[in-house]
Amino acid sequence: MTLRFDPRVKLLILVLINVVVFASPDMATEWLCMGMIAVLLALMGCWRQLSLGLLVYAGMMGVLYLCGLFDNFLTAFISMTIVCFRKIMPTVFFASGLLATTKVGELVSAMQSMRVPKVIVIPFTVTLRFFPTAREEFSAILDAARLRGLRFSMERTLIPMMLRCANIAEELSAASVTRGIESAKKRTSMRELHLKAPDFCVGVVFVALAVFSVMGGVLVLYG
Amino acid sequence: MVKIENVTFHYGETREQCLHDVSMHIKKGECVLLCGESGCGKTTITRLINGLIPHFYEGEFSGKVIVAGHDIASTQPDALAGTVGSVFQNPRSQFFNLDTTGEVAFGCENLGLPPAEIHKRVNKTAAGLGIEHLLDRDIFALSGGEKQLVAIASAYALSPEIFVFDEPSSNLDWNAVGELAKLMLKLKQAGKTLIIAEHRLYWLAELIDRLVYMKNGRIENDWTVSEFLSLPEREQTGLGLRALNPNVLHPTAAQPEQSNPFMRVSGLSAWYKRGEIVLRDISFAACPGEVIAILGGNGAGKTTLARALCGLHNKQSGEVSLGGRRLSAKSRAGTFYLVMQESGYQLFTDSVENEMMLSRSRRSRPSAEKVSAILESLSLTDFKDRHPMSLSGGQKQRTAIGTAMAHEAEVLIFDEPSSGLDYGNMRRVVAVIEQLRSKGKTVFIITHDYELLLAACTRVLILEGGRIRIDFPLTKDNFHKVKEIFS
Repeated sequence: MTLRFDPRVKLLILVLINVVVFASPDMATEWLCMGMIAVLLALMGCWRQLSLGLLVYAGMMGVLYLCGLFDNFLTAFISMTIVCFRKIMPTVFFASGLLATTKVGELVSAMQSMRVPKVIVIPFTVTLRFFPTAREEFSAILDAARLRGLRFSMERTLIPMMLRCANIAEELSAASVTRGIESAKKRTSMRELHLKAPDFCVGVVFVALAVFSVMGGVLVLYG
Repeated sequence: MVKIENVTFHYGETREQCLHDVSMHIKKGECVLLCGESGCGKTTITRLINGLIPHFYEGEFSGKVIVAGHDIASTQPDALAGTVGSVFQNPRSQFFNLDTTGEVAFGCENLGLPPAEIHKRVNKTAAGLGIEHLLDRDIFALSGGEKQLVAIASAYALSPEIFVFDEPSSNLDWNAVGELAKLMLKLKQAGKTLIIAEHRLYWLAELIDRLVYMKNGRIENDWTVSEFLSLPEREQTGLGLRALNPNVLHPTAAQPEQSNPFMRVSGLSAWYKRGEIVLRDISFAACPGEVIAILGGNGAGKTTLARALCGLHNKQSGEVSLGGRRLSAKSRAGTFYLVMQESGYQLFTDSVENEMMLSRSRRSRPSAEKVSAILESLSLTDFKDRHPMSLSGGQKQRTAIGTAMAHEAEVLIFDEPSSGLDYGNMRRVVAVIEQLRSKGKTVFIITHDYELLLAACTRVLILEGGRIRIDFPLTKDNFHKVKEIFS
């Protein structure tokens, strides 16, 4: 059985996870946070995102452990890089589940009902919409480079890609303008948003986690 | 329903594609085709009607446009959203949502309709257009044709009286074009007013009432369909339009003189990550100078075949050889060259000439004489210093072909080379292909374009479910087979 959470709660949790990561008092709290996200993804039925995220995270921990065994410049550099990525892992982990279970329209309505101004909502949703397109564009450019026997280079891959993306972004905006995206009327959503018991439960749990880690996390328990 | 009066317009920075003193009236329930060469201003007219001009695309605008009683100059596009529905050329860049139902509901949500009403509209739209099977799908998993139907549905959900289409068939195969035509006929029967800017005309013959012919930003002629069809054939072709009546076309490319196969493919199979097999045991041989059309519906394996031949698809088995020498997939890239549908992807430098010179190593760089000969033969000499991104679609495509010629590609594979091209540019593609075959290259063309097929190809290879279903030379005797496929 999978639970559908209100997109507003999901956005709230996303923010709270950032609070936890930012406060991040110790490793144990981070694990606690990852664990809770894992349970939440399982409840939402995102098994693929769940297993992929945990695998990547475990891989990072493994490499960090190995780096700890050897003490030199290279391993220090590698661990620093990995620590940077590990810090954003909880956010990425949950965001993957959020994207998989939330429709763009729902997200727009949720943000609007939270009175987020339109100048933020529209670019935010366009960005979300854009990732899969950018991926398609990028692989086409890589193909073209391979046909010419060219090696990957910033100048030759990223500039054509940016030009193309700018084009697509313009066409996309034109299309959404003709569908009334700029309308001053209050936007509605086909799927009505109601906060239900499970929404309150997960909301409270993650608020508690955020408060807990701001106060010092698991270490506090040991005085 | 639509009144355009003395409109003159040009886009902000560039001076190209303007309208000069254009006036036209469109009655309720009429279906009007805007046609003419690329850059004649037909797309600009569609943008006047949906209000993108002057509100989204800025420029110098004078004159008056009245759409269903709204003066466009003082009406924001969102106020028109429920009056004019727009369907654009590129199915990839007109979706805001990642799922189809969300996309159909999107406009209604923007206009703040109550949720119960939106549900009703989505269901009514799906039933009315017969596309229930397309609801609740991932947009990225749809074919181009299906995307175009969803785009129409999302416009239809707002129940506009007027629909404008900007080259809606450009990216579609012939089956999908048939579906599109059926759907548009339904709109017409429901009394909607349709305005269509298009290059490919054959699928519209049954649908349209009027043809508005444009040239250099002016309306040159305004015919009814029967008036147009009664024009003498010479006058019709002189307009540079694609055929409205496909029955007048017949195959024209001569069979190649040589019959010693140079290229051989045997047992070629290809699959994807999850074990999904897309090509099964493909075997054939091809001679220099052959131009082979690769046909087939969505998912038949056309694109994968092209990518596998060029060594871009890694998961493949089987043998490909040229002149008796077996080539590994990796070593084929470049010798087998793919001219992509959007050749803009394939251009990496800052000028056409540098593009020809760009090569993997100093040794493989072509000589200046060779480059200038190639530029000359592709009529690109005048553009050799231009930035490739500033070229038109047809010029970009010829530049991409030029790079393949400069680096001695033996086999060229074109993916939909005529999509979105007007008659003149299509003929230019045919001429370039003729040139390639006279040099003894082997050419493959993935195409849905009946006109291009008959003008350029010497052989037809039809894929179905990843296998070769039929493979025959395109001669007068076999012509009926092609006709059957496209009927």
